[in-house]
Amino acid sequence: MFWRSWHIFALLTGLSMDYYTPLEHRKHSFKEFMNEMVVKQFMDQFRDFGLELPWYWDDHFLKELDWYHHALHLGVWTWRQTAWWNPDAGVSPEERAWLEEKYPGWNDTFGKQWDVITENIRDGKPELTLPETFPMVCNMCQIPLVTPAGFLFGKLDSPEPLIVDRDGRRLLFCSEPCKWVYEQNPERFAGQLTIIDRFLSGVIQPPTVDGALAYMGLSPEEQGQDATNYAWAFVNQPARQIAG
Amino acid sequence: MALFPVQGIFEGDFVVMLIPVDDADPMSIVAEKVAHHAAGRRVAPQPGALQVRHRGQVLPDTSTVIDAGVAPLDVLQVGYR
Repeated sequence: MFWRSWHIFALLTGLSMDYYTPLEHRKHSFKEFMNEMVVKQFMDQFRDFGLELPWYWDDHFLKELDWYHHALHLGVWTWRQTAWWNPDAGVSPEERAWLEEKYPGWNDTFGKQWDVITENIRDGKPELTLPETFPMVCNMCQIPLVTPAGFLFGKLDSPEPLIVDRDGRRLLFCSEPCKWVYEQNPERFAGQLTIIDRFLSGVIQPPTVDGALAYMGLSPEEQGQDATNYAWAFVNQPARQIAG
Repeated sequence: MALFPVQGIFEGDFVVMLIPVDDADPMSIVAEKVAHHAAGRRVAPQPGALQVRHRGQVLPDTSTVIDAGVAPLDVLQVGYR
């Protein structure tokens, strides 16, 4: 339960704290908040009750504090059409400096990916920032597989997701704990289909990004867009016109 | 010839993507299909040819998806040589 809650919490709160909150209002990074308000309290409680830490605490949970939500943010922003809010990129030069200070190595990993995105926007090619396919999704937490980001950040040994073939079905997992949760009770999750399972089984028609957006019931007016119409890409840059 | 889904990872990218290829595609085409979704979008393009890695082995450019023994939803890592 803790593990699955952590992934949802990283998705919702990690993005809000480190990318959506205006820089002048940030008091903690998400990682600092997690260490002070969650990790410490849980460890105190485990100690007080005489419990051992979960097996995944050090090698998986604590390591993900450094990189996981940054990858999710890039994913949410990239697939922003599927979001019901307008994601703020949050990567102006000042914000990037803050991210590098709080998460050393951010510039050499996520920063490089945002560099390419930023150049495309400055060059008047925002269409290159929109996806033409889907991310693969974890069969446990249902969150896109961002293992390549963890590998780039030096926290995972491989960029590849974990695979379990069972009863003629291929299941994908973003992490050892998600795979472990599944393996505790495979029958419980036998009928659970990810959005990609539905895509591949023909439930989503046509099998395109537009088809999936229609399946989600998202009209063009409801689909998420960059929150500032890409203004962040032009901070400290000569003014240039861009098609929305 | 049939549509064939694989998991594509482009070196330097952050995410595993669903990549539809054809089972008769040679690896040179598979590499381009994976790169299309990442190179120049989130990964800076580089000069030089691409290569496909499957289960730790680099696959020959002329080997097709079927010939190479790739299974549906296998992971293919694509990067510059």
